[in-house]
Amino acid sequence: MTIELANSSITDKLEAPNNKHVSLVELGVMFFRIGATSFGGLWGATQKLEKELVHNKSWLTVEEQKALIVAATLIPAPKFLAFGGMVGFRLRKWPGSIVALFAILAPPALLVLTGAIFLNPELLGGPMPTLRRAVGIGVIGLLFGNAFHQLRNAKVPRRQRIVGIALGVSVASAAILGVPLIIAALVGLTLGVCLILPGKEKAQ
Amino acid sequence: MTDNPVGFLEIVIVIMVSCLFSVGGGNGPLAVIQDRWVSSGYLEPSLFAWALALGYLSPGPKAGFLSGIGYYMYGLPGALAAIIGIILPTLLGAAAVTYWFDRLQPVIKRISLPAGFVIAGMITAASWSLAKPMQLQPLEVVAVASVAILVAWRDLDPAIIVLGSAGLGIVWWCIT
Repeated sequence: MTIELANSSITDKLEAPNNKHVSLVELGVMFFRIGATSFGGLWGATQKLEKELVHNKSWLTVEEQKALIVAATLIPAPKFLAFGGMVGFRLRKWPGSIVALFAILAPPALLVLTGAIFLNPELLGGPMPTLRRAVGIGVIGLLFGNAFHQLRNAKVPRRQRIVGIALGVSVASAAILGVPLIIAALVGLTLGVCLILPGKEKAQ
Repeated sequence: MTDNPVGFLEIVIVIMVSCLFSVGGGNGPLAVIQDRWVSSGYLEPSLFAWALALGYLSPGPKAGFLSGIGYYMYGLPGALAAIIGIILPTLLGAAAVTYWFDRLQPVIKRISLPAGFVIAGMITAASWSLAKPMQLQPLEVVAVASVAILVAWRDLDPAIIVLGSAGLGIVWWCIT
């Protein structure tokens, strides 16, 4: 009996999110806290988001949270920001979305801005040239790694993967050879939509 | 801050357009900024890399690095312009997808399939443009390749990469 009550209580909590009385201040504070304490992007923060938004605040169900995370990866915006904007919109429409977006972006934006103002590498001597070069090498490696990661993560059959890689190489080559990147990317995207068809992607 | 003719409105527009290339979670803004401002000489590659490094070291969304880019381009108003440039399309996209989630899903899915490959190409071009002016030595090329492999196959946290690179840089400076 006790177990049944406990189970129904948990189910009710998951299926009926308590999102009717969310104030904009509460929403802003929550997303500022998430923005200030999460590392590793959206994927690194999924557990924290579930703990805060589903279990602590009951603003979303587990299913809603998952659907929003998937949707965030599919829209043309940074994933983490898109997720915050969508949660804010679901809870308080446009004002909620605006508050959530500014709140989640504020911590990193302010930290970077502070660093850019006070740690401007041009103003510092000593080890800064070496440090900048070393960080630059790290960032270049990081970018190449991200490019490989994008290719590896594509869930398409072998033939379409080859077409996709050829497409990526073509976009990169065109941009390196002087074609404006936006044009190269738009042409690549148009060709990709024609050549890489939906419904043939690998099952996860 | 870089002395250049790029103004508030251009920063907003370029960042907004770059946002279109973030489908699938890619680093579209990096590539577009590299193409529009770094390659054009409006933004020094070292400042671009520095803002990126600061962004990787900060918590929360990685898009925070855009405030640094905006600051280097046009001071504090530039930082605000960059934030507006990333917030506006995200706001519209998030609201539209939340509102029409079911209807838009097939279209989004269709674009997201080739987007990963195109974004990979864009990031590669951005990496190449950053690496070329640095005229990397053979040992540094090995370091770049090692980092790339670690990131691609081991999902190494970018903060570790940046901190590790900075630490190695200081050690190298002390030695030399």
